[in-house]
Amino acid sequence: MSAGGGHSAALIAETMAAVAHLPADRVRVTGDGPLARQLQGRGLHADTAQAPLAVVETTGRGAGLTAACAAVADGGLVVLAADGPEPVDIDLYRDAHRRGLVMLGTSGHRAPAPSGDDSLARE
Amino acid sequence: MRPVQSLAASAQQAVSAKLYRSGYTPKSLEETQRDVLWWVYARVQAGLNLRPLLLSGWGIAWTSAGYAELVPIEVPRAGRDRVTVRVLFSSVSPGTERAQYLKLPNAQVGVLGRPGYSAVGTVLSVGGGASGLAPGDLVAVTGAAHASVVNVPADQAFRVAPSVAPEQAALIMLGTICINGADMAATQPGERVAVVGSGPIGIVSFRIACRAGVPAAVIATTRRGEAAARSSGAPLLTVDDDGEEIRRLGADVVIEATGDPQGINHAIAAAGEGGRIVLLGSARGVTHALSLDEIRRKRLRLIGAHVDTLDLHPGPSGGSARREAGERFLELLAGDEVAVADLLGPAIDPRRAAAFYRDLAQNVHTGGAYFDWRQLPSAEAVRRGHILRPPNVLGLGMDSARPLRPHSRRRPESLMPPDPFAGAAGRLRLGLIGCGDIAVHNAAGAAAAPNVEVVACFDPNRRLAEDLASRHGAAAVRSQEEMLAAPDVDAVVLSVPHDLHGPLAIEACRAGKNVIVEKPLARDLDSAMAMSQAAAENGVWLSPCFPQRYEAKIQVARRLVDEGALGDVRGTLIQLFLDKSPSYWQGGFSGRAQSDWRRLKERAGGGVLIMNLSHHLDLMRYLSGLEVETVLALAEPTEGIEDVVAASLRYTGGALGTLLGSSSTRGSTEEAMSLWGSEGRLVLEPRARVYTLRPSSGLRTTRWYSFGRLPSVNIRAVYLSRLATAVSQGRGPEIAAADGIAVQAIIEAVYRSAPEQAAVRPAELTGELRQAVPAIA
Repeated sequence: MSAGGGHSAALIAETMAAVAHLPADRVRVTGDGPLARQLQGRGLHADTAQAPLAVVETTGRGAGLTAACAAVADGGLVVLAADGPEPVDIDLYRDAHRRGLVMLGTSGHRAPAPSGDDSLARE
Repeated sequence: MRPVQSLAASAQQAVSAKLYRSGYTPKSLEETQRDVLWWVYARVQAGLNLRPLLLSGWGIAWTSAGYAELVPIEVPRAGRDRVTVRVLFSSVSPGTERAQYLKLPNAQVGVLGRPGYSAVGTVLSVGGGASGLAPGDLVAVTGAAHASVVNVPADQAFRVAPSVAPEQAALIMLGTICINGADMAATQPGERVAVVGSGPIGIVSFRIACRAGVPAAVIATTRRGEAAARSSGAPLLTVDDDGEEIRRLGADVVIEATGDPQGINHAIAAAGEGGRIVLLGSARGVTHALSLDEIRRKRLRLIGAHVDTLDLHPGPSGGSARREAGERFLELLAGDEVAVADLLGPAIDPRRAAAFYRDLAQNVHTGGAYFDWRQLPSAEAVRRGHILRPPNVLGLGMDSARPLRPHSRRRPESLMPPDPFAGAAGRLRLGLIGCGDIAVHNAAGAAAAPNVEVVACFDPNRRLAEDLASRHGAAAVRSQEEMLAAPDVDAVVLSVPHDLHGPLAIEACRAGKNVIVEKPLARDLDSAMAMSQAAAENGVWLSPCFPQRYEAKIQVARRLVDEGALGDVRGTLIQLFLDKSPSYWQGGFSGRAQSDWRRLKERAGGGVLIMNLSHHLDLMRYLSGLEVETVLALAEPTEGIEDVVAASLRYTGGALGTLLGSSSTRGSTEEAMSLWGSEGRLVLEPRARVYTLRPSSGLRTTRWYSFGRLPSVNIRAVYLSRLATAVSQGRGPEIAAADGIAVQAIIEAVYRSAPEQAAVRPAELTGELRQAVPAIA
C-alpha cells in the first residue's frame, strides 16, 4: 500500500495488464477495499449471469482465494493482487489443476511483464 | 429417508440376512453384488452397441480399499464408432493408481472399481463408422481398464508405427498428459526448466519441455530417480538436502509432477521471477501454507494442466486437443525424439496384481510398471462369451470358509498330488523289532509298498511276533540278536517304547543294520544324538518314521510352497486337542500290547508333545524349510508327562509360530494346522485349502481353493517305498537322522523352557552335545 493509502499505480497497471486481453465485463474483482474499488473504477465488473473469465482476488485470504477459484470459468484466470497475503491452505487439485485455471501473482514492485498467452487467450 | 429408499434399504437388509443365513459372508456377498453389476453393465453395453455378442477375458478389479483381484470380465464386440482390442500391455500410472487404490483424496475410481489408464494391443474388431483401423492393427488406446480385452471408442485408439516398441506405446496416456504439460509450459529456447518429482510423468514432461529449454534440475524427496534425472541432463536435488540450491535455481519453467500437495511449495521456491509453474501432478489433498506472497513477489504463473483440460480447447491443428496430443507423443516415440524406455519399469504378470498393488501402496514398488497380458494363457485372455450366461452369484473363494472346489475332472495342476510310488526301485527287506500297535501299521505299509517286504519279526511277547509274522509270511525270530544276525534283513524297524529306541538302534547299527525308528527318534536329545553317531560310525543309515509327510495334502502343500504360493513364510499354527481315554494309557489305541510306558516320563520322554505333536513339528519344518531358532514354552503338569503344552516358536528368518496341544481335552479330536507367508496362506487342518497372490498352475490368485477330495494313500507304504528307492539309488533316506534330531531338539527345548519359563535355543542344545561328544560333530 502506498503512503497515501492508495495502491501503487504500478500494481493497478500490472493487474489491468494481466486482464487486458479479456472483456472488462467478464472480469470480477473480489473484496471491497481500496484496491478493489480502484480496479472496479477502471471498468472491471463481471456480468453476474455468466462465470467470469478472470477474477482479481484482492482480499488475500484463503476463503477469498477459494471463492475466486469457484467463481471463475473453467480454464479461467485468477489474479492474486492483494498486498501481503497470508499463506493459505488450499486444495489445488480441486480448485485449480483439475479445472485448468491459471493463477497469476502481481506485485506492482516492478514494471509488469507482458501479458502471457494463458489458456483463455485460446477461446 | 423417503419411503421408497426406506423400502429398498429394508429389502436389501432382508436379502442380505437371508444370504448370510445360507452361508454368504459380507465379502462373498460383495463379490456377488459386483459380479451382478458387471453382468448387467456388459449386457447394457452390448445392447447400446447393438452387438449382442460378447467377448470374455480377465481384468483387474479393486473390490475394496486395499484389495485387488484379477477377475473374469465381459466386453461387447465393437459397435458403431468403437473397437475391441486384445491387450498386450497396459500401463500403470503409479501415482494415480496408488492414490485410487488407497482411496486417497482426489482419487476416485469409477463405480465398477476397475483401474486402468492406457494400453497397447491388436484390434480384434472394428465397428461401423470407425475408419482407418482394421483387425490386426497394433493400436495404443487411452481410457482402457487393465484387462486382457477392451472395448473403447475408436477415437481413443491410435495406430502404432512399427518402429515403436509396443510397451512404450502403452504409455500413450502418460504421453498425452506430458505433451499437455509441455504445451502449457510453452518453453522458449534457452529457458531454464526444472521439474519437481522424479516419477514417469515428471521425467517425460521434463524431457519434452527440455527439447526447447535447458535442463536445470530434477527436484525430489529421495534420490531414487537419480539415474532418470541424470539421463535427462539435469542434477537431482532433494528437498531435504538441497533447499538453498533449489531456491537459487530461478527456473523459468517448473513442472510440478509429484502428486504431493506440498510439492507446489518446492516448485514456488525453484521458480524465478516471472516463472511459470505447470501443475501436472494430481495433488492428493490440501496444500498447507501456500505462499501467496511469494507467488505475488515473483509474479509467478501457476497453470492448471490436468489432462481433462485438453477438452477445453481445440488442438494446435484444430482437431481434438486430446487426440492430437496422443498422436504427437507417438510421433516423438517413432522419431526417437523422447526416451521412455528407462521409465517403463517391470512387466507384471496380471495374476500378481494383488501383490503388485500392495507393493505400490507400501512404496516397495516405485516408478513405472506395466501389466503384461501375454502372460495369461492365450485361450484365457480372450474367448467367446455368452450373452445368456447367468451371473455368478455363488461368491465362492472370497473367504476361507467358502473356498472354490477343484472340479474332479479338471483339478488344477498345482493341486494334483504326485503318484506316491512313481519310480519305485530296489527291494528293502525289513525286520520288525516290536510287534505291538504301531508295528501292525508299519507291516501293513511294507506289504502295500511295491519294493518292501517284511522278512522277520521279533517281540519279547512271542505271541505278537508270531501273529505279525504269520500275516506277512515272515519269520518270527526268538531274539533281537537273531534278528540282527540275519543276513536277509536290510533294515530293522523299531516300534518300541521310546526309551528303547536308543539302545536298540545303537545295537542294530553296530550289527551293521540300517535302522528305521518310529517317531520320535528317541526319548531325549542325548539319546538321539548317540543314535545318529552310532549310525555314522558304522556306515549305516538311520531314518525316523515321519510318514505324515506323504499324505496327499502335505505333498500338495509342499508343491504349493515350492511354487512360491506363500512367498516368505511368516508364521505357523499348530493346535491338537486329543481326549486320550484311560485305556490308551494302558495299551495304546488298540490295546494290542499292554504296557503303561506311555504314562512314565522316564520311558516316554514326555506327553502329547513328544508322542503326537512331534509329527506336526516335522511337518512344519518340511513345509516351511525353516528351523526353529528359539522356543518359549509352558506345560502342565511340569513333573511327569505333560497333558497340556503351549509354546511360541521363532524360526530362522523371523517367522513366528505357536503350538498348543492337549491330551485331555474332552470331546472329539480337534486339529488345526496352517502356515502363512508374505504372499499366501495354507490351511492344512481342518479342510485343507490355499490362498495365494502368486500365480500357480491352474489356480486363480486371491481366491481360496479347497484341496478337495484327495486320493487316500497308505502313508507308511509311501514312506517305506521311497526309502527303499532312495537307498537303492545310493541316496540317503529322504527323512534322515538330522530331521529326527531337529525335531528332538525342539521338543527338548520346550521341556527345558517350560519349568524355567525362559527362552531356549534348540541349536544351543545340539551344540552342547556336540561339544560333549566331539564324534557327533
